[in-house]
Amino acid sequence: MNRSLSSPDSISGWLMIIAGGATSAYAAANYGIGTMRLVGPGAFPLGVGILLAVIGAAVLLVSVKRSIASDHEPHRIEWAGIARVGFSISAFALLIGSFGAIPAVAAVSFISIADRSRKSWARAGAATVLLSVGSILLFQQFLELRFVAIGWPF
Amino acid sequence: MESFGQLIPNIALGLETALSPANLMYCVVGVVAGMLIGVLPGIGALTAISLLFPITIYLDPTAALIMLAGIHYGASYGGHVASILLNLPGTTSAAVITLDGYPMAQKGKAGVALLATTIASFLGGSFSIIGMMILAPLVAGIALDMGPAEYFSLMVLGLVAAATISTGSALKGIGMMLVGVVIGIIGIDPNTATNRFTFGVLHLSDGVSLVVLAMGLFGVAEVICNFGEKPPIAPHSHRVNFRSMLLSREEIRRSIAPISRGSTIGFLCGILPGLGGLIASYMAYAAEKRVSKTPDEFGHGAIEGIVGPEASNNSADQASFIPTMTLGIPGSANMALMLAMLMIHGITPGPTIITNHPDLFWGLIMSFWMGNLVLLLLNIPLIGVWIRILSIPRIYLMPAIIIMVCFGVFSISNDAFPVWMVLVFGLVGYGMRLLDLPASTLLLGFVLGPLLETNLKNALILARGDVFTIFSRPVTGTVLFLAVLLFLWGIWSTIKTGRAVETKSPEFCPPEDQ
Repeated sequence: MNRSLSSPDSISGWLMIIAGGATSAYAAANYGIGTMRLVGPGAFPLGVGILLAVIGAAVLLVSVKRSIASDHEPHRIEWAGIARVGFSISAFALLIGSFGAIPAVAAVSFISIADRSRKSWARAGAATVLLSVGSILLFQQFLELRFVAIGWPF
Repeated sequence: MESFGQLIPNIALGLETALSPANLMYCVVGVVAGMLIGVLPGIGALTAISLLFPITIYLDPTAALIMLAGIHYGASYGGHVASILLNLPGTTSAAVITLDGYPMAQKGKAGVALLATTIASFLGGSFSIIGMMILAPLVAGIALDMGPAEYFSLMVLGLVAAATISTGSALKGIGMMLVGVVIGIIGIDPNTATNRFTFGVLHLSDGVSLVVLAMGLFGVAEVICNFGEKPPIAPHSHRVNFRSMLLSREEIRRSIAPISRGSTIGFLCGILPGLGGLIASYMAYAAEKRVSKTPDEFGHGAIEGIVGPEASNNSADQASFIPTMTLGIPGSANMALMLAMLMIHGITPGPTIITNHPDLFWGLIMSFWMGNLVLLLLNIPLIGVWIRILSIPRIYLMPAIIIMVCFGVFSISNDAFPVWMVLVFGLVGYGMRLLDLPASTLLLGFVLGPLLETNLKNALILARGDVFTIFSRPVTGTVLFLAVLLFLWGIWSTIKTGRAVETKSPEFCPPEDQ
């Protein structure tokens, strides 16, 4: 495959064209455009969407024109980081409502830090204690947010 | 002049507000948090403001604004510490300080460099504060006569300038700004009460929350980005004590002119949308190098090369409040967050803010003095603490930031939906970094988008649907013409050189702090 077509700029260009096209098409199909005097709810998204698609096309054009002058290697994707952050936030979302803050904080700490080494488990434990106390003091006591420290839904 | 006669009572009112114990405390909390963030490489002021944003919803608006502002300018004080001692800029705008600051530290003059930049920061900030006290009421006076058409055109100019100048590529900057505008459309249309782009999801009819968007794009994405980073090695050689900080008479003499030039450059950059501290500091460095009689010294520890940019940087940080507070048009993502915070509290930033909320406006200005004074006093004694913080394993930061983000978005509606949303925006933000797309202009577009739409619609109603009456008004026409010119220049330079402005370093994961 031509390298210029898989460059970050080309991908950005395609994504902008798709996003812009989808926005304007959806707006035109579902919301009234109105008149110049009384603008309907669909007019602004339609215009912004078209503009976005045009800009995307320009980004794509520029990147194809500059095919050889690719300025740097594509960035390495941090899959481990994505997985740890993704799972810890998901765990928080699932636990906070029914099991409460401390299990949620513990899940975040262990998923984000712990690996095979013993030291990392100790660190995750320390982080759990510190962050549980900190978040309960700040969010529950100071900001009076409603959540339980520890709960059991069954 | 009427406005000058009012200055003394206004200052008194401001001092009264800024010196109230609660506001003073939030000012100190803000500047210390900002300093800390500035020292830590990889976390910018924008991330810090995003993380503390949900807390401000519970505070009094004046206290909240004072705290967020403290983070904004405190970060630049902290930024130069890591630049000088470690050759590692804590914030992007402090990168220029490494050029001469680190060579000074290698020559054993770390103490002198730290004190000189701290004083330069203070003087640059003070210059802008005085400028703001004089200029802000004048700008607000002019702005009172502006209608929706003028506002619309000024916002377009501000957005185009921010997207064109402050990002690597003008086209991508504008593209991301438009994506932000589209995300801003989601929710109930205020004019017709139509649900737009909600796809039947009840949670979305209130629109995407700014907290979710900012925390996802800057908090979560930054955590993923920094995942594999190793903490920098803390230096042992640069012992900094008070004796080593004393500036010689020669060094003081050499610093005076660069500080005054830097402050002026920074003030002008701060007022104009899209420029801000980063470009201000580079411009000041270039200016010092040009006027210097010994340009060869630059890069080898010239004191002019650190005091000029540092004064300029902090001066720009303060001055960027002028368009935000008097016109309600933010020039950067940081300022967009301040604006959004005020709107959440039911205060419309704009020319009426000075007359309707004088305590807030003058309290903020006076808090700048307090904050700068606190920074001047705290920066030097805390250097030892900062160095120790830099050697803490980065791994602890990760759960701490995730917890701040999760509780912050959970607090919006006390349920888990925003937590899922923040994960989505975090992944989007990380993807944008992989593709070198600027997230800060997306945020700016998101905040200004709804204002843009409302002003455009109102302008069209007033003009009875005639587009040409809008564009042929003198102010509107000129401003929109400028926006088009700037846009074309941006595209032209993108095509010509590939990059509009070569200010960003090629390193991955630069902290977004504009």
